Amino acid sequence: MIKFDQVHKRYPGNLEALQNITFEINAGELIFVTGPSGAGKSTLLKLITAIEFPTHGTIIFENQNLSQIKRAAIPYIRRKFGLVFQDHKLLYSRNCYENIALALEINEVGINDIKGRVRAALDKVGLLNREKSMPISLSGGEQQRLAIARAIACRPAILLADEPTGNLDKKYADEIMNLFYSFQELGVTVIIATHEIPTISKKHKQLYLQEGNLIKITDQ
Amino acid sequence: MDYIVSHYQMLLKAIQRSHASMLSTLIMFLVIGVTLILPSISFLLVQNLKSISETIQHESQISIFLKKDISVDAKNKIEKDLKSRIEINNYHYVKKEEAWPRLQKSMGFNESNNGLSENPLPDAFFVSPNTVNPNQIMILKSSLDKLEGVDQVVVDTGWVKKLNSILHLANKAIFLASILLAFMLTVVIGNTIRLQMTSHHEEIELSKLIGATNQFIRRPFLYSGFIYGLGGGLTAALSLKLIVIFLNRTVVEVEALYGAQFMIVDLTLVQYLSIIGSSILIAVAASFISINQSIKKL
Repeated sequence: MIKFDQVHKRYPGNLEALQNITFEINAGELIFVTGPSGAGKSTLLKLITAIEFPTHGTIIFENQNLSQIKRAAIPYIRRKFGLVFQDHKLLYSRNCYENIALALEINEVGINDIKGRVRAALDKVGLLNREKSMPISLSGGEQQRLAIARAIACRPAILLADEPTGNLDKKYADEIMNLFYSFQELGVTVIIATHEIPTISKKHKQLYLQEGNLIKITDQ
Repeated sequence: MDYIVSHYQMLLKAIQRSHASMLSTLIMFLVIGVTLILPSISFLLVQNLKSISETIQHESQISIFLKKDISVDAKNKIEKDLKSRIEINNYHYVKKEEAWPRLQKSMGFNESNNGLSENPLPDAFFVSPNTVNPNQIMILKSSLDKLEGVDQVVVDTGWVKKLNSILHLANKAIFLASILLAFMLTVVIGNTIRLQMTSHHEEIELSKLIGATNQFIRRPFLYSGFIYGLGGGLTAALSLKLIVIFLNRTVVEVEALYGAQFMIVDLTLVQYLSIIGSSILIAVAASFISINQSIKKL
């Protein structure tokens, strides 16, 4: 589904973020991208979602070379991913319903389907009773659940999460992780970048990065 | 169908945004309106002056001065020719014996102080042409010039020509001023839209991350531009209409006092719609340019 072949990423100022990265992710897998801060985890997720582009090497996603993709095609590639960010990236001037509806509008979901899809996504993350609430009134865990609801509402093939439990205590972090496990059980490919050891499940594949290098791949 | 509904929703969103910042929206309507009124009023004045000059031109005369030694037969032949021409509305003949005292009277001379031993004026025909077209008048002039017994033909439209060339120049000046004002509007509207985009920066950035096309991001801001253009255009058209009504009321009062007959000719419906259309076009174009520049920076 996703194939990295000798991928390098250098930021301006000769900062080597990733070096010679080669791996493959199959459909339906749940993968942890781990490593200390500054290892290149976020860069790797940005390369997958065409937010950044490799300096060398090729990234193949669904038979398309993301290194040579046309600018106009990028939005359509990104729509195939559900993105969850550490800082949630919620719109605080819109309520929970509107936050999710925006993602569906962007994905050109029919106007008659939006309401049902928003409510289904909120129900999945246990926030159905908060659809009219403003994000600011939600706890940290609830805000992250809302961000997950926004990501899954568009029914993406791949769910990418960058430090999804970074700001949460253990109880909320477990809730969030359980949500990701449940999505994988439904057939969604899940990629989670995290540096928190307790979050990482030993049952799933791990890519361990350090200083931009892929040190090891563990496949249980 | 969903595409139309999506556009409708974007329009609603733009209206809600404009409504939320009502004061700045109204100021924007006023800025666009006033900017558009300036060239529109100038255009209206030039149009009115043009119609006056055309009326004057219509009333202008061609003077045909006959040779001093012209025979009665030749004079009658010229008169017959004038009578037969369809491009001549009317004419009259003035003998040199009648013209000379009139000229002396108007100049304040008399027989003793004019310094002339004899009447210097020739017999003359004064012709009112049927046309206002300067080219046709010149064709008529050269044709009259060729008649036997004619000494000189003078077309009395010199100052009308000057007025026309001034109006022509004024039209060009208005056109140039309109371009400058349109440029100014483009900058003002573009800047407003840019500020709007800055205030929605987070939403735009997130939208791009989750797959929004530039078209999707552009749409609500283009509708904002459309609303500014429509509001500004309507403000200009309405103000112009009120100005014409006000001026015509004043003219009626002058008419009653002095018995003069003059009304300011209003713009046509198409011209009013053109003002509104231009306003929308400028605003949407300005928004488009501004949005594209902002999107490129993201």
